Amino acid sequence: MTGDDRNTDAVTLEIMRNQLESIAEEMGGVLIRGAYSSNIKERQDCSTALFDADGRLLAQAEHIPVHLGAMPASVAAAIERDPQPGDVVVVNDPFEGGGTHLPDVTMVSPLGGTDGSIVGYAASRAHHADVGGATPGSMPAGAREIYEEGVRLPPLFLEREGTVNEDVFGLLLANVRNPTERRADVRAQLAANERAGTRVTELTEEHGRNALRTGFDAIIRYSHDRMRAAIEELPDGTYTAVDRIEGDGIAVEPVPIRAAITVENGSIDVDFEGTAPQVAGNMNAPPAVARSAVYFALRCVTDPEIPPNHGCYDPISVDIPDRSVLDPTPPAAVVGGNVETSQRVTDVVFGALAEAVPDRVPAQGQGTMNNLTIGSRDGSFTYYETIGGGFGARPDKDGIDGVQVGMTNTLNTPVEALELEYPLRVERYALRPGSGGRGRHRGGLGIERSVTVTVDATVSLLTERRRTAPSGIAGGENGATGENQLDGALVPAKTTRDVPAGTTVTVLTPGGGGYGDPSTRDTEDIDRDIADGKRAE
Amino acid sequence: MTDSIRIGVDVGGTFTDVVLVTPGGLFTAKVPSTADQSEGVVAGIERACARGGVAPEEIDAFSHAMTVTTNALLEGTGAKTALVTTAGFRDVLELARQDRPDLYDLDTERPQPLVPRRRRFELEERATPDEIEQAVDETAVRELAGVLDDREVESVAVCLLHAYAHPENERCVETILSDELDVPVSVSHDVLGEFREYERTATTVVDAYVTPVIDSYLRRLEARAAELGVPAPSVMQSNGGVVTASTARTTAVTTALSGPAAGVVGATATVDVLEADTAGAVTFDMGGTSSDVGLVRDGGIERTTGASINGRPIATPMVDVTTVGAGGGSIAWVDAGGALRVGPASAGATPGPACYGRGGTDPTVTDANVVLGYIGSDTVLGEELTIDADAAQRVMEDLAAEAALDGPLAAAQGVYRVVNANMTRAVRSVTVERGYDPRQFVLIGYGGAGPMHAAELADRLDIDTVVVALPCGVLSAYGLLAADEKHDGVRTHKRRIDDLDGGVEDAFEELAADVRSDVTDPDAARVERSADLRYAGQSFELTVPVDDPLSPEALCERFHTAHETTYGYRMDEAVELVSLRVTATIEREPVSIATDEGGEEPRTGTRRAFFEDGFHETPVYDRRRLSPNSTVSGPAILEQPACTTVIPPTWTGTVHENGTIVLSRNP
Repeated sequence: MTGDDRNTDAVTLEIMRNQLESIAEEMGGVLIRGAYSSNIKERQDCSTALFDADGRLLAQAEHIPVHLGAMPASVAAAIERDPQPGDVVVVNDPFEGGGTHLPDVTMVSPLGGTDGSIVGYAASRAHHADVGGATPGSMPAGAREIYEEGVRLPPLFLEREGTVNEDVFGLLLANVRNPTERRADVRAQLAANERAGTRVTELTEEHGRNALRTGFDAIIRYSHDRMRAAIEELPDGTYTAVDRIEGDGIAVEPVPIRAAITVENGSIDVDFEGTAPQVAGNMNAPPAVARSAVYFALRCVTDPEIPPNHGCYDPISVDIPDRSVLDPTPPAAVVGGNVETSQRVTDVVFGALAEAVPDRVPAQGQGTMNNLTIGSRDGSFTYYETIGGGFGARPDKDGIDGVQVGMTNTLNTPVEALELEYPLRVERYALRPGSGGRGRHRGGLGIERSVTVTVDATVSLLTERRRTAPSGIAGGENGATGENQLDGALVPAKTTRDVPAGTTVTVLTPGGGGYGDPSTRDTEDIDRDIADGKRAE
Repeated sequence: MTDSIRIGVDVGGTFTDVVLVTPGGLFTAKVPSTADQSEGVVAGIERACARGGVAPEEIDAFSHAMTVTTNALLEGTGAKTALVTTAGFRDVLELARQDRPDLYDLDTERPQPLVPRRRRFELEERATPDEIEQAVDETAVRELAGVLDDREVESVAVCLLHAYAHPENERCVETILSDELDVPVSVSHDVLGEFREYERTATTVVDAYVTPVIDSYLRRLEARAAELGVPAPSVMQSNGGVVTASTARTTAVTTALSGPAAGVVGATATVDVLEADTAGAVTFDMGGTSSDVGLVRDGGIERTTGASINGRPIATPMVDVTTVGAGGGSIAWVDAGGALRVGPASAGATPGPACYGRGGTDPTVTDANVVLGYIGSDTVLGEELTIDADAAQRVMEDLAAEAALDGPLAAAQGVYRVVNANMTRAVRSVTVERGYDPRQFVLIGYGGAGPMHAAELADRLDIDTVVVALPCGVLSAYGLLAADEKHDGVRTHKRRIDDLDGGVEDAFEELAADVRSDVTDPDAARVERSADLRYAGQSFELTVPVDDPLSPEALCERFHTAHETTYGYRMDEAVELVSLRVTATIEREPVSIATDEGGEEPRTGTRRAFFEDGFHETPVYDRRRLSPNSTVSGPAILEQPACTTVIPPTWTGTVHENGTIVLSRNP
């Protein structure tokens, strides 16, 4: 409609932002529609994004917070290979490619202008159901090296000048368990990137090349200004917090994670100095995990409406000590880092921010994803789920009962779907009364989920917050710790066992911490909880 | 053209719209909605009858859409409901799917369950996917009935695990509770015979929650209708079909989106003026506070079983409508980063846009349209409303200062472009994101502001054709006259396609008999069968038509093709049947609108209006005086009560026999 804007006014800014977000969303739609595996289709464990020619994030449609900080790192790694329009770079390497764990595979496509120069980049990231390694699903519980977790892809050309590089694709497919499914999911990612190409060309025609470039700058500046303004509302100072992971998956010694957050003049630095060195087990988290946790917590505490682009993260710097559990060196195993360490990093960042803005930060939530994997040795089935728990109590209200917290937000598997598909039977799926930390506002309740295997099977549990409870805040009490049981007998937080048919695995997930002095709780709220059987009388 | 006299009454949040069709033509009325919605309905009927010169007693058919169900859900004013579940699973309703509504909002809340935990009861019983493993204990149910009676519950929802396949235990509970209690009992296999316990429980609970409310409302309405001498109403359901009031009472959950469904049906009824070469239509209803976008494909309205209201899923089939918080009353503002934004806050009807002169001081989309000249100071927007153009100018001036734009015109233009960008995004989400190309569709604009923005929206989407029906300001009420009678049923019947036996035909027969028993004239009903299928191992189904008798090969091929169309590829994998669906339809006689050939001069004057290339002295027409087969070149503004159509300079309008105007972009 308007092709001649020389600088970006308030109207063009809003329209262009809408258009870029709409393209990122459309890419997400193409990816989710075209994918085969339910992990992408139903749980939407994927993200799509647009970047400018300098690799700066313009717009992102993400469904999982852990992808927030990871996408820019993967695109930066891809750009190092100097891809040209018509090429596609594939990458999943946590050490050399901005990956968080191997199942998350990212594809990056340069988008060309009419003169062959690069206008920007499209990127899509999806959690693939299997990328090889020691166990189906590529999330082995006791891994000590990344080689056990699947195939590593440093930035590689999957396509050159519009033609698939069969050498790379063939090698990839030869190393995964279900190549037909992988092929469909990869194709869906490629289709998403192609769609971005079409749309960005249309955008260039509509606005003109120069106006588009000016517009990109304006959109980044827009988020930058809003983020700075939001940070300026935080009191300057340095705030610290420390918390621990309950063992690395092999040994039970606690692994400390420490953060010092410095707020100064509208910018924020998060320094993880003092965090434990990398561990022998799989709880190591690649740097993108800590970055994502920082971005996630800061978006929550500032203004979640600020469009998530480069400008939004520009005022935030993150320092992670080398060879720490948050920046391991190869060949460290990392799969628990993405699903469990990420939750603890989030807790630590929120903990430090609570010192700065106590009225904005909730008490700790369950702080784990309660990863439960059940499969048979003969390979006939593998079932994986994460289980929700208590959300921390908020300054002005109770925490949510039985919900996914922090870095994940995936849907459950319905009981009826699970019983139709697998040799499993759900005995009980219920709220866990009394598990929310008491306070003026109560922590959310954890969940009790009991599943019986009807065939001989292997049960793996990768969980946290079994020994140290989610903390209350401002005088609120802690939430209940979680518990894992096999036929009623307690088993450790991280467990792999072969069990006979008829065994029942029960997971009691942690409750959220409480907020404020419990004696100041409104009697109406107490009566309601008692009437609803959410706490003892 | 028949001699029957039909009336459609659609109750909206602010206004109750009425369309009356008589042999003499089409008459409309708009009256304020009332707290007891039946009062406004009566007032509207009386006004329309006066205009049409008929007595209420002469009306042959009365169709109705209302917001009683939606309001009960939004305001939490439904019944005191109890829920009965399998032991160990009473919290399924509250746990939902375990996700939180917003990723980053630390204040996020899930909607409170409609039934609090203290009124959720468990029974020892169990079914597996294969069989009833433990029968329900009748004594325990009788004891439970006593407890429910003591608690003075007003309705009961029953949802037991795997009841979609093995309903015996639910039937037993239903029989006993209905015997012992004098309140409605909703059972899940009846409401939604489909697996996935949370969605089935939630839908059954909504049904129980709204049943007493709908029941008492329809009783009041029937009494008032009888007093007037008007026939008992048929009621629009969310699926786009109407049913008798007595059926609506027993399937209350299906009335949740009655109004928007009627609008899409009305829009669909106007497409028949077009050549058949379009892929379908995008329906675009822009009202005061929001816009609804829907899709019509292959002559059928897109329906969904994945809808929710206020965060509560309702898995019975509904017309698939996407709502954006952008309407005529939406407020324009400048955000912290200096971008011009529109909505979702709205000035509503009171005080309304500044130009209403009722004390509104916020700049709205309607005010922008006044400054751009699309609405004139003499335009009749609603009944008894005059336009204060100076007020509109003032608020746009203030907005311009705040947004650093060059004067009120630039601000108005900005508001118009931004709101259109918001709506473009919504249309893209219902088309391109589902694999359809909007350029192959037509755009149907309706609602008070829809036809004012439709051509501009079409330009942005590269759509060549815009359709504006004659009753475009009251199209939902018109849709009520056009809607067929429709009943849906579903049963989960999970089998590999290659393992199908006679059981599937039996299940279809049973389901069809069930659905037939609900229609007014089973012999006249057309029964269509369809099925939800997927590749084994996937958790996403596609619905495809099923022949009678069923041919597994044909069904399989149809699924592969549908998968290819929707997702872009087919797989060499086993196909699995998941659920069977049956729809019984009794077609309604089409509505014909007689238009006036009367010779009054349609052109009423000119007005300065702003378009892409600057101001044009733009002719203004009284739309009702345009004669069939005439054409109107843009720029032009067509006025009629409650609706204004804008034809930009690059578009031309053609009037059809029934008064519908088709706008085409000039070559």
